[in-house]
Amino acid sequence: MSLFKTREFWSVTDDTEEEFDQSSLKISRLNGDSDFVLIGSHSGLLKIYKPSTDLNENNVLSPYKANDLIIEKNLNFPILQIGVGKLVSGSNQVQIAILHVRSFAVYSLTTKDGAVEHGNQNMINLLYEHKLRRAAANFIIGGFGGSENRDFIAVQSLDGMLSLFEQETFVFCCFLPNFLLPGPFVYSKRTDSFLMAGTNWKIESFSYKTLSAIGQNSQESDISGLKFQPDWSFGLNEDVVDIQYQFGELSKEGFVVILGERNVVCLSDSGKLKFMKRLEYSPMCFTTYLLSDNKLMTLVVSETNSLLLYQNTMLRWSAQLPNSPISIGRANFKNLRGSIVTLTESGELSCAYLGTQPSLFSAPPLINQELDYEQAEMEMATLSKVIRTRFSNDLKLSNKNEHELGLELNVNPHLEESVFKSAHRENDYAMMCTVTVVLSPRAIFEEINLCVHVHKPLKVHPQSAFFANLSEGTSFQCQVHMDEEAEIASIQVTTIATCISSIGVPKIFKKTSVLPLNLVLKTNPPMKENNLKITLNINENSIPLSTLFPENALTLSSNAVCFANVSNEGSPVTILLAKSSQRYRLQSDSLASLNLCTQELIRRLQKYFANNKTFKITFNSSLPLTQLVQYINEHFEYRRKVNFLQNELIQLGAQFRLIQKRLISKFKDKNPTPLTNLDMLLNDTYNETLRTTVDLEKTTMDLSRSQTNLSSALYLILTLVQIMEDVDDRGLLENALAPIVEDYEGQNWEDVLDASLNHLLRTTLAKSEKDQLRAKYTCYEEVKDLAKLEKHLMMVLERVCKKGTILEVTQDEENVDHDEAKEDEDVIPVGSRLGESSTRLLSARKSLLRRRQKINEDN
Amino acid sequence: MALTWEDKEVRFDIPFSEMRLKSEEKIVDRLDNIEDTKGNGGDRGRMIITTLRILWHSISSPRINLSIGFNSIISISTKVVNSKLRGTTQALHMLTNSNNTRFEFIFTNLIPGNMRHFTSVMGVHKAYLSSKLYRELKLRGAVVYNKQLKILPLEQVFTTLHGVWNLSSDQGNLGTLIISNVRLVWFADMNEGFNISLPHLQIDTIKVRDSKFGTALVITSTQESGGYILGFRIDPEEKLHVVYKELISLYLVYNKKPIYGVEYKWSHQKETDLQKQHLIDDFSEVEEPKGEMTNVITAYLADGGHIKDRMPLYSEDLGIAIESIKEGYTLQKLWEVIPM
Repeated sequence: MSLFKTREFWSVTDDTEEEFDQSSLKISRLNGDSDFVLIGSHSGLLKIYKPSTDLNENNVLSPYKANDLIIEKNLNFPILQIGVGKLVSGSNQVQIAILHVRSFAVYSLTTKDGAVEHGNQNMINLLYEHKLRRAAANFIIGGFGGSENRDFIAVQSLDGMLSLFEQETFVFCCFLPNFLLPGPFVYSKRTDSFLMAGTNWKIESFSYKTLSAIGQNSQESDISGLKFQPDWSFGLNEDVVDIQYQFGELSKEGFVVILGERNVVCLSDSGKLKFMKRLEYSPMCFTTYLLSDNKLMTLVVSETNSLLLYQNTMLRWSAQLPNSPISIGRANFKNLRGSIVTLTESGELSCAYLGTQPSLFSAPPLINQELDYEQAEMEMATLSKVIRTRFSNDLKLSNKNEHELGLELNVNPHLEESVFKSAHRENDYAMMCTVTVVLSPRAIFEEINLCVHVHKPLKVHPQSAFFANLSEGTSFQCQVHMDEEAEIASIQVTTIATCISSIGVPKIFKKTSVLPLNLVLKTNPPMKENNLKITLNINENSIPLSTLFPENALTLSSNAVCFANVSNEGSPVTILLAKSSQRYRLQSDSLASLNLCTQELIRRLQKYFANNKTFKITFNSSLPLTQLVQYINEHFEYRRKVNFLQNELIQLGAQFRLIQKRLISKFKDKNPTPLTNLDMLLNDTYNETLRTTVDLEKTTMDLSRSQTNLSSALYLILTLVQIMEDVDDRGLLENALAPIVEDYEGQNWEDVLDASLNHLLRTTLAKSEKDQLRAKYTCYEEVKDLAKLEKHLMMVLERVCKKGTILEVTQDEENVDHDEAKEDEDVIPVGSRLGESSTRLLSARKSLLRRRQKINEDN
Repeated sequence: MALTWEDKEVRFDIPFSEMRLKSEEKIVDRLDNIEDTKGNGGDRGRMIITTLRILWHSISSPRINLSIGFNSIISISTKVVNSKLRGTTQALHMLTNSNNTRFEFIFTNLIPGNMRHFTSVMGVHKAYLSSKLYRELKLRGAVVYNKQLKILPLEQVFTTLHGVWNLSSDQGNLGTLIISNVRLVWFADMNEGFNISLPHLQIDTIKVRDSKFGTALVITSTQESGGYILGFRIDPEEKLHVVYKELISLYLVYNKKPIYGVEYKWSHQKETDLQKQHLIDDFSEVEEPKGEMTNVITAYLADGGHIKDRMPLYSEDLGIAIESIKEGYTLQKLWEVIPM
């Protein structure tokens, strides 16, 4: 972008669709007093203009007038190049030379003046024409061989033949050596040689004499020609766009100016480099001229439509052109010397001069208003509201969207013979239950991953299924069966569908159901007396057990029933119904066994009285905590043992590998040495490892059993706490107690429990302000001292059981929930929050300023 | 009446009467969401592309408007600009020259990715340029080939008359006169290159009067086309009067229903109802007193505050014509302010 622009004063646009190139423009005085502009199009239309450049009363040059067109003639053949010269023998007049593909024609322009301007009659007449055998590329005109007042013609063909004509007569032709494609060429007057730019990226000089000698001796049909060398060559190492020759009459000095793709190079006519200018842009076309004292001026047009004027290598001026010309020239008109003539590819011909009024393109000034911060803040608020609602809609979509995917979980109440083999299989509990998940999508989902989950020791097979591009309803069937002999923590079955919708939004759907009781429990004859008893009171008339457990109605009496685990694990549970006192009693020898029956009884009672709002189940005795602690201890011990065995296995493994290594090195020795009882050691270690592995296997099973026991006990405690205090939401405590007991490598269940208990004690269950102020418990530590954990557990349960506290807890919990919900709604992207805060900051500042102003005013 | 300024000039805030279409001026395209980024940034406007000019007016205040004649356009290109309503975007950039003052216009389409205003404007501009023979006087052009007139697509030749003398030179030239619904053409029998193509649009007067060659048909062209006086002699004299009458009636018909020759067709014809609609249908115009100088043009000037080019002179130093330099400056001073 230049600071200056060119000032166009005359322009004419082609009204027919023509095409032009670099050699379509020629500026010449012909036989007149000022320059003519000749253009020839690819379709063969020759136009000759002579801008009248009259000055009007305001000293403004006249624009294009109809009279400026001297002549327009269709020559019927494509015009490749236009030239001028004294091309008729015996005449000093300048003629117009036109190169067509297959001919070279010379025309004369004659003018017959009329009485008025428009009466001037111009004619161009064909004087002679040379037919060309080979398709032509370009030509030059000059006084070859030192002829004065006569111009000769050299035409280069596309395949490298140079044909020479002395005006009307053909002289000779010759083939250029090492030719590939025709390039631009010029004639150097002083050295009488042709300077050709070839495809070998060199400028080569061939003297007319040499060519003439070669040409006289060769036939036109002889394509190979005689080999000859250039007088000199100059390596440019880039392709040549154009080449021009200037001859200083005073200094008798020739300038060969070459426009490359990146450089302007000036050579003397003897092939010496005069100067070179590296261009910072891609040039399109150029023209050169000499000023009196042999100053070489170069006008270059860049790809970005800048016109740059160089004096030798120095940039003297630059200006912006309104269009991108394909060819440029310099012309002297009537009232204006040194005008710039440009021609574009589509035939826009214009004459211009350089502007000297600097101007920069600048964006129009925006009317800057004083920002109204309050208004901006209001706008911001409304906008963020819009964003927020949109965002929360999105959230809702991902959670509460049952209408998008229908998820149905059907549990078949009729059991079937199990087809699964387990290590501990016994015939009487080899039953399985079929669970069917029905998916009915109401929108298109890209991916759905469905999985079914049951609690240990139950197992489901197959566990998951994957659907891609699901658009119609489908179902998934799986079987649930007992896999291990263990207590049953829960007979809930959960299915979770994880989906990615067609627009890429992830969503989750969840459904829960209960498995038939018969799958895990069988009836036994009732027992009279047991260690553990749980009494449930209800505030309605008691329901017969046969009504509550209809599936076993045939085998049980109405007021006593006994269930046992199908694998005979744990101890049977007897449920007794006190006829008069609205009481159910469950008794068993094992706390873990009690769990399932208690849960089921409560669930069924609640289901039975679902329509009765006042129905209540209560539990008044103390929680069976000692047994729970026992289970915890048991679990802890097993866990410790497993850890110990694992460590031992690591050690034994290391030892085994070490012995192996020693042995190998011994065996590898060239001179055998005694084994020094290493073989025995290896054997011993191996046996030890095996034994430990067996131990570990057994202990792991014990651990697994103790996990289910503990889990069962925890569920029972949770259930009891819930009915004791009638807490609807047991989530808090359930989360804290983590009834699904899992041990991970490096993190035991006790560690998690301790951490969550501590957290509860310091937050919602805090007794005093001081407790609440203590730092939140955030780290997990390995529990080493079980007594401490016990203490914490007792404290939590104790506090939960106290009515006042639990109310507070629930209140808190509600608050927490509420807050969370609110937070969900309020989720704003961090950026916006930052933005908002900054606007808040601004408004705060603003109000501060205002206040200050007020104070000042008051003062 | 013939075209005066519509296709040649750039005008700002013109009254409604001038915005109204000329007879046979047709709407090619009409776009509702165009911002005049250079002069009225931030304002939604409507661009109407007719066969002669580009009209733009603001939606909120139709009094703010532009009329850009196709003949005034120097160049059309696309440019990346910063629009107030759209941010950085590709815009239509036009450089125009009206009465030697250069104006620059930038139009942005507010519908993202919509290029219709580029294609329409450029297409119609091309159609306008390639139909110059319908509207401009041409001397010595290549309008005749092998003694046959190259007929324009919308042209109908009514009369071909041989043996018509053109009285532009002392002895006169014998040639052929062709009269069509668009123009009259005369060419010399001896030299096809010597011809005149004069559209009815550029005819000022048609008269029959005496000359030194006897009774002659004298046609003057409009001032803007050069104000040429063309004399023709037709023998016998009765024939001359017939031709005269024919020309007069054709001239009248033409003025009722001019043929501008600008044709632009949409590849899919869905804008058929455009012609029926009014340009601006929902406001009543209060005529403003004319001649009130507005400063609106400054917003559109192509080179800052530069309104008219100064006259050129030859610089001996550069060997090329330059604009005369403001007083107090030299070429050297001007050049050296540019950081190199």
